[in-house]
Amino acid sequence: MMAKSNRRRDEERRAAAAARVAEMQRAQQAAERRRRTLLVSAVGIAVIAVIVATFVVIQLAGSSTAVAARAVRGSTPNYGFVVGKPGAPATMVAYEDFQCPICKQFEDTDGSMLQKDITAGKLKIEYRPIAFLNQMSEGNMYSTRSLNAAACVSNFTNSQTWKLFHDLLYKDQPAENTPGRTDAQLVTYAKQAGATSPAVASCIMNQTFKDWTASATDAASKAGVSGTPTVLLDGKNVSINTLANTAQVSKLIDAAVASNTK
Amino acid sequence: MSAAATAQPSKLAAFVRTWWPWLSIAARLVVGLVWIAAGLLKLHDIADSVRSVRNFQILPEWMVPTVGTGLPVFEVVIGAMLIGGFALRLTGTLSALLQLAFIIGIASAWARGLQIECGCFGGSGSLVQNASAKYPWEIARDCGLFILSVLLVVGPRSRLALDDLLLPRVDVER
Repeated sequence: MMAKSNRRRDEERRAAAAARVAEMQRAQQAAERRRRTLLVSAVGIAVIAVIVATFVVIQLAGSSTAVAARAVRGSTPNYGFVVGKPGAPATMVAYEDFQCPICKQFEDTDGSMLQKDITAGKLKIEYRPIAFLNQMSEGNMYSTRSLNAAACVSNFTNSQTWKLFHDLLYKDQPAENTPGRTDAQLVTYAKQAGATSPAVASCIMNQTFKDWTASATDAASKAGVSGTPTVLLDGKNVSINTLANTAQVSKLIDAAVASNTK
Repeated sequence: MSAAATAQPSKLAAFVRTWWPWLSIAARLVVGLVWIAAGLLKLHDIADSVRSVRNFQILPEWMVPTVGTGLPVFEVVIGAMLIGGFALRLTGTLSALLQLAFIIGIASAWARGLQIECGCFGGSGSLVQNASAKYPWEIARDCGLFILSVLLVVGPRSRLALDDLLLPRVDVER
């Protein structure tokens, strides 16, 4: 009787000891896994940091050593092109992208009214075209190429020719997610607008003002322009909804003219 | 942690516990591929990525170029690490934190009435008249990816993963 109970107690003790050992092994295993998880995580952080930092340093170094963009004749310090009499009482600033369909809507809707006000000497418009929709032309960089072409036309001709070229590009705007117009087609439009010199053609083909287009786009972004068209009348933002209503825009211009000629 | 503590785990819980290392492969693939796709699209046009970051008007200008340039690479690397199953607890955490940052960014843009496209998939795009209509859907998508990332942090054990080779396997049945 006594012996039997002793044996059972022995067995229980042995089982408990085995369980303790197993538990300790498990704890050890878990601790080892934690230790290695930390190690692997540290390696992971190092990998990410090295790759990202290398890329950023190379990219930023490349962009900061870029030569200052060549100036475009006929452009303002704000990368704009002024259309209209310098003394016109009302001033509009229009940020556009030649690839932007809503800019085309703006041009189609308000273009002829604006041209009338420009001709009447009431209004001058500083167009500040930018190139931020390059992904919309299937890798063909139409935004940049069209803006470069516009800069070429300004550089070698005058403001009227520039405006004609600008209007031609909007009249024949390529749809988004198509390759856009070729450089040769841009040259044809430039000639049609009156920029017939071979200098313009080679400027378009060589993308002479490509850096300038990047600077123009960067400047607009830094000025808080997050989309196009962004239109300001005497410095005040005109909403897209207002732009859809020509009569309202016309009224705003008349009000600006009135307040500036008082 | 021990099975005895959670009295009578349901069949579903037991099933998930047993199969999570396999289920998590799907989570890794979904989140990883989304990161890689988003990153590659942004890498296409780094200048646009920088402008997108600036559009949110959250970070100071001196940080904008660095963040806008580094973000696409970071996304691709995180995505690759998730798919490869390398340092899953870390990459899951970073993935969740970045999604959280995006959610906060979009929500704050929405609250401030900023009309911007989030640029999550590259392309700050033209000003769509109703950009804010897309914000709820973007937030919902990012929330889904955030939850999947968190699951990978909670249960970083996964099959067909580099971690499986690097880390000692711990008895899953406990």
